[in-house]
Amino acid sequence: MNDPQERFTDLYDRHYRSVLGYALLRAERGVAEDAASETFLVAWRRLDAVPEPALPWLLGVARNLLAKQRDSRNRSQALVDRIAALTTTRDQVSWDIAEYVVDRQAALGALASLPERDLEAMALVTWHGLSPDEAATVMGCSTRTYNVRLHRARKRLDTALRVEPRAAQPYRGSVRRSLEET
Amino acid sequence: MPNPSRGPDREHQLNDRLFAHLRPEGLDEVVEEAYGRRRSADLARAFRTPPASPRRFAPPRSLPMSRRLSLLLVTGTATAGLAAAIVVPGLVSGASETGRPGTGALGAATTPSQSRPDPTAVAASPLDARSFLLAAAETAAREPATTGRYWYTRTRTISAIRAIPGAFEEKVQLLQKELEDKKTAAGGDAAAIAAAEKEFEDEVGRLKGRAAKSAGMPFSAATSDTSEVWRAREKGGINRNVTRPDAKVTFASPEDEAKWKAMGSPDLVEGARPRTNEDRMDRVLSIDNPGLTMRNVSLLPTGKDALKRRLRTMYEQGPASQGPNRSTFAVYLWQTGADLLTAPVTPGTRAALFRVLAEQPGITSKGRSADALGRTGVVLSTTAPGDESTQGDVEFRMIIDERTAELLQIEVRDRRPIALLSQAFEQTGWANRLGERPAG
Repeated sequence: MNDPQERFTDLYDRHYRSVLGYALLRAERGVAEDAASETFLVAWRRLDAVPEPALPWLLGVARNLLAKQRDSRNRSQALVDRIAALTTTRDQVSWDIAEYVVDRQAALGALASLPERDLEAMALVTWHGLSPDEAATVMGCSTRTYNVRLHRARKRLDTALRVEPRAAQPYRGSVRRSLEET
Repeated sequence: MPNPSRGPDREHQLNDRLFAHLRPEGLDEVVEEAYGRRRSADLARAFRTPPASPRRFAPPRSLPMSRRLSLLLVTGTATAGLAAAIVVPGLVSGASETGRPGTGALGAATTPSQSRPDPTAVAASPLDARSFLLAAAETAAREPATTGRYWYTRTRTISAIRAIPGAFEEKVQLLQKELEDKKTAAGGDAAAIAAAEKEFEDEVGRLKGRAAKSAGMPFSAATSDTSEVWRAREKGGINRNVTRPDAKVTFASPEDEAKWKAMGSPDLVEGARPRTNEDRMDRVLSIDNPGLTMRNVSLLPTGKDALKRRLRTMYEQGPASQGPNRSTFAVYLWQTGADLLTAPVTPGTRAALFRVLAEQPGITSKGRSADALGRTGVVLSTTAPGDESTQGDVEFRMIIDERTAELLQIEVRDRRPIALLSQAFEQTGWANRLGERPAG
């Protein structure tokens, strides 16, 4: 990686998808794409400051860019709406195979009831595969604060899942395989 | 550490998995589509502006260089860098044949300077550049179109050593230590610390500038490597890049080698091990043209005017025409021309490209000369003003085989006795398997 342009291209090829994936869960498509492009422009201008691993840093930049544009709606609800819009029957089938105690719709309902920060704390770990240290970098807090948030988020999710009414489970019973043991 | 056997924790794991499972698959498709659609514009947009901060502790191989020079180092096959080495036989023979045997190989290599004779030009030019290029166009148009699964290029790259690697790092480390001492001495004085840091950065900047110009380099030498690249034509196919650096450094003359020995023979080659890389990414085919890929490069126009218009547009929209280190269209054309001549373009596009070059002012023929592999061709040359990283003007050369119209070698030179960069294209063509070379 001798050349800044080569290094940047590599950075882009490795992380663009993750950055856009993150942005898409926080903003509408057009806004998310612009935020992802802007994130990489910032990375180019500050190429020396980009650490390795670069992803937490990039997500932190994207997060700041997205924070500037406010959504008047409940952001957790907005996230759930975006997830719903992208959900296909494949998602539904694989959900049913997994045999969770709640169905997908109910789980999404539980998500919508959580504070946005809780969602983010969980998403960084489960969707983006970051370590607590890295997730803390993205959220701009200490690892300890992050761990507290994650703990709280898990508790709230747990409660929300218990409260959500259990809707009809059309596929349940017909599919026996469980992902529990994987 | 939480105990995994405890109830609530197991509950968390379940819920974490449930949460993870809510991420819709459709997201990946949307993201992949956007990646394909926005990549070239995003890269071009970034490259229009310089990266703001200089690379602080960059070793000499990533010294500031004019954009076009740095481009050359990543062009086509080469991730050459400034490491690895050998004699330039073409230049050696060129020098001796012009009756200057004593000057010693690379030491006699030509420079863009007008006043000096050109020892690498073996014979007086039999052709002007324009007629030669028009003839090359005819030859190229007669070649049959070919295809395969992997586009293969084997390239021999020779790079001037611009600075002694260890010495540069040593100086930076020394400055760093000085900085630490000053910071300690400053106690909590923020202003004094800031001043010391600024001084440090200025010093490093000066060091880099000197190194880029080879200022204080007591001798001239070059490193070299051979790289083989297989690029998959299919999207998402595996690309392979094998680079074999030469362990040996080559000196411009025995005097240069003696000076190096007198310095205690400092290490000049970094990482002499062969390196193999594989990936499935669409690697940049021509860094000035981020929109070109293995799949669309064969769709370029085959008419002269249409190709010229397309090149103009790509130049104006691409990184080459932007930013403080922007290139003129002539330099862009030279660079992109070299990229295309080693890429899988159609015979029609090759022919059109030669015709576009034939119309370009400022390209002159320097007669016949041998390349680094001893193959003889006609040398075409164009000169552009240098920048803060060069010694004087920069000359760009192509050596083209008269018989086959193949690009044999490109070179970039300034006033230094050794070409800053030369790349000899040993073989290009289609292969059907990774690791396999094209037939013939």
